[in-house]
Amino acid sequence: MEKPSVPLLELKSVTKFFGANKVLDDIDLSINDGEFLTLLGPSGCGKTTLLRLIAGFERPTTGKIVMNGKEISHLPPNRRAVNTVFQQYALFPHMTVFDNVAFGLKMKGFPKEEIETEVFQALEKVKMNMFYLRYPAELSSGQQQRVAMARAFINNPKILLLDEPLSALDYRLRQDMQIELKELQRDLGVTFVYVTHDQEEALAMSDRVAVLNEGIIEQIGTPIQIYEEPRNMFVAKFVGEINVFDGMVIKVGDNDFETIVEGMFYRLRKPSSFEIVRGSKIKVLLRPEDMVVSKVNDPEAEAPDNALRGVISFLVYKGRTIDLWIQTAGGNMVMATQFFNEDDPHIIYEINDVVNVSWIKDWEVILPDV
Amino acid sequence: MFKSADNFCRQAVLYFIFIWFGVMVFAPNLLVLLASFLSRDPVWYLRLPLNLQNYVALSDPKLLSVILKSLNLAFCTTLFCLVVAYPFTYFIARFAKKYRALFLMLIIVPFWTNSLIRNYALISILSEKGILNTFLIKWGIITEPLKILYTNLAVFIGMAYTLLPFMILPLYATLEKLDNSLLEAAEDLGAGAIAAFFRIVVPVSTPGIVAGCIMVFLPALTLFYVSDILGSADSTVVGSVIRDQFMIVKDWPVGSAINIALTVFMLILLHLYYKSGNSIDQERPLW
Amino acid sequence: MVKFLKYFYISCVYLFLYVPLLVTIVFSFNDSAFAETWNGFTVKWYASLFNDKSLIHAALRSLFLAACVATFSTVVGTIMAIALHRYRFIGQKVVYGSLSVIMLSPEIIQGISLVMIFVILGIPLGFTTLLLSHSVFCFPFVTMTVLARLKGVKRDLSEAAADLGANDVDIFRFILIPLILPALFAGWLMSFTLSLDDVIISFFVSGSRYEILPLKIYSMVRTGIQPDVNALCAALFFLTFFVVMFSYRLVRSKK
Repeated sequence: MEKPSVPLLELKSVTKFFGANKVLDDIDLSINDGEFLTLLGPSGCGKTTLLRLIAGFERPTTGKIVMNGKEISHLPPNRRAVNTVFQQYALFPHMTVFDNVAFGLKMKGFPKEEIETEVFQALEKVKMNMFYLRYPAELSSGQQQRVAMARAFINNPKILLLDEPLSALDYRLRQDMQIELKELQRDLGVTFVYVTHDQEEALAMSDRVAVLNEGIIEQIGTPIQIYEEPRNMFVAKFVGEINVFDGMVIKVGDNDFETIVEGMFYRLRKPSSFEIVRGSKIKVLLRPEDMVVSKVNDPEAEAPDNALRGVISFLVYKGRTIDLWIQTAGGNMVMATQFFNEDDPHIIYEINDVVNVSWIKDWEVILPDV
Repeated sequence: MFKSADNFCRQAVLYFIFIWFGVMVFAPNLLVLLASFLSRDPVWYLRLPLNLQNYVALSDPKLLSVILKSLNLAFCTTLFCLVVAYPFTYFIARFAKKYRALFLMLIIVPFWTNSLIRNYALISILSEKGILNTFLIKWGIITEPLKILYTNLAVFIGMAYTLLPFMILPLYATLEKLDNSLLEAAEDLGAGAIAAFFRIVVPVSTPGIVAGCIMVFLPALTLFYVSDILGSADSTVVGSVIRDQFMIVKDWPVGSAINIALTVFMLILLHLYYKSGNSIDQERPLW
Repeated sequence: MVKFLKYFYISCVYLFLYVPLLVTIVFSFNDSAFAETWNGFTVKWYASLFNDKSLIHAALRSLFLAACVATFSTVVGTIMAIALHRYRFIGQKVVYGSLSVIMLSPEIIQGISLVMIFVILGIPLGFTTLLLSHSVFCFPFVTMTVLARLKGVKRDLSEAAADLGANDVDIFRFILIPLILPALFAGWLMSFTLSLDDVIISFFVSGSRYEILPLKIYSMVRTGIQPDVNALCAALFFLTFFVVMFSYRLVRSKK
């Protein structure tokens, strides 16, 4: 998935303190030309600080920021080939849409005619050229967002930094804007560094996602890697819903090992990320949509191999899918997302139904228990 | 963003502020404080030795009676202004936002004519053959003209007239912030209109009330031209005494001592103001 | 009924505030040397005003002084507000607290202290001392107004400007100043008004060489004021009124 290209921007062991408070801890990160990189993490994880370091609003306490082989750590924001789309857009309230978008070029001393053509081109790209005489207060938040985009990319930055640009929009608009942003990025061919706490947004839009927590990068990779092969418990739990089972390794084979989960025997494939040792504790992680649920007609019958017996204790109907919370015999609460089966539209789950729960083989993630 | 230029800017601005405050605010007031402990000099105004004589002079019974009368006048003026201004300001602060600015502007407009002249105009209203008496006699309310001008009542009217806006403006600043939803919440919780007023409106506007009272009370002690224009010899205010000490008697130390007494009084009131404000808002602007 | 009483009450208060002003204006057209009686309409006081050079000069000095004071204290007050807003420095709390003390302290306290420092420093009383003294009691109003406005300007606006290539001067010129312009205007107007209205501080610091209108009138009070003073005051009032309305419109339309 990763393009074999020279990194456009590199952060080399960057650390940032605010007073005695360590916000970023020895960050190494390289950003490739033309990619859509998302910094994902809970609030306070340092993702916005990382963005502000790249923009030049903050200076690293130690470490280097290198762009195209030149160190830029100590350049002010107005001398970096980087532009920002702010969380609350930060449109100048006393200027029209036109003047807002023109501001950057005006500061660079472009001639008037050139500014005019460029501004209308930029506004065209975000479908805002009709509104060039309006003031920000006269625009909806979605329109403000487009203007903020145009104001930033008109300067032809090498990197466009976006600080949770969709967080102020309502759900529906956010979905639409995700697609538009992605298209715009392809159209412009500019590197996007995108900050968000919304994992769905991150997975939907990015080429690569960096998951941050407490000032360190927990994992960096493609959305599929992040979602399907989380490297640790934090990533697994932060990105999407996940079921966690405790397991005990009882026998180790060449390619697989045996373990006991919830009192049941399982033969699972060995993970490549760490060594499985006999007698050690492990975590078995499963996404809700990888769970297989089947209704049990005769509760007295034994549960089949590889299946846990449970009772539906809570369910949420979501249109295309249904989320089930199943209380297992071992006392765990398991979440399972079921797609409606077109062959069997009459399956109706109800609370207190007895079910068998298993999962699609080899789709589990094994992590060491620490 | 260029660090040195930015730093230079900061240094220059801070030096300017310290010099301005030092020379124009702190030095003059420290000088008054110092002068109040010095002795009178006919040529240089001030000389050593340091002493407390000037403060002892404050206990002169004649001076004390003037001060008491002046305090009484200031107290009446403040009370009157508060009682008149509070409902007025409350009504105005409840108007729709676009009208409020206009109503507020209308309070400031009279200031564009100097208050001295406006007080002078009061003469033609209050005098024996003045407008007030003419109307009252015409309407048959009185038969003999009222003697108001050159009495303490006239000074009271002049003070109240001059200082009413200084009660309205700080009150407005606090009452404007009073959220309608706060009142609605109170009523929703079962408070009657009167209970809501005394339990919500009055406490929220307390800083405004205190600020307004200070801004009326202190000037009412010192606006000597009002008593000059409208009053008699009996209606001397503290301000007249200070002025006379400086301009006529040329006794700077005693004048300074009275001034310091006034300042201490002001600081006590200010302390009350901050105590009233701190419970609600740490950095409350006065206007 | 309640509504009627409310409006009646509001009208009464405004009447109280405006009657002396109206009386001044009405009597400026009164064909009688005595303020008490109405003798018919005339403009002769306006005519005689033109012959009273010293009165006209005093009025012009007052206006000129007020404009200078307003401008100077707007500059000082704005610098102060920006410093208080942007920098953290030793004595900041003292400076902040002093602002409200200055606003609340009676004019006579300031007047006395200022005249003493001027005399001790040997600064001759006149225009300069008036300008400085008036500015001392006007600038806190500007600072407070501008500070309130600055608090409403989000930091990300100046960051956005820097991000788009603006340096500190550009940010000040294109972002900060336009955004606080209404506050600057309000502060200027406030200072102008306070300076025009002041009697007490001027009384102490003006000296004899630079006589401004209120002091000129004050010296006339005991002997009785000629009706052309009414004419002058009425004229000044209308002049101020129109200038303010015009500039207010200007600021509004720019916004």
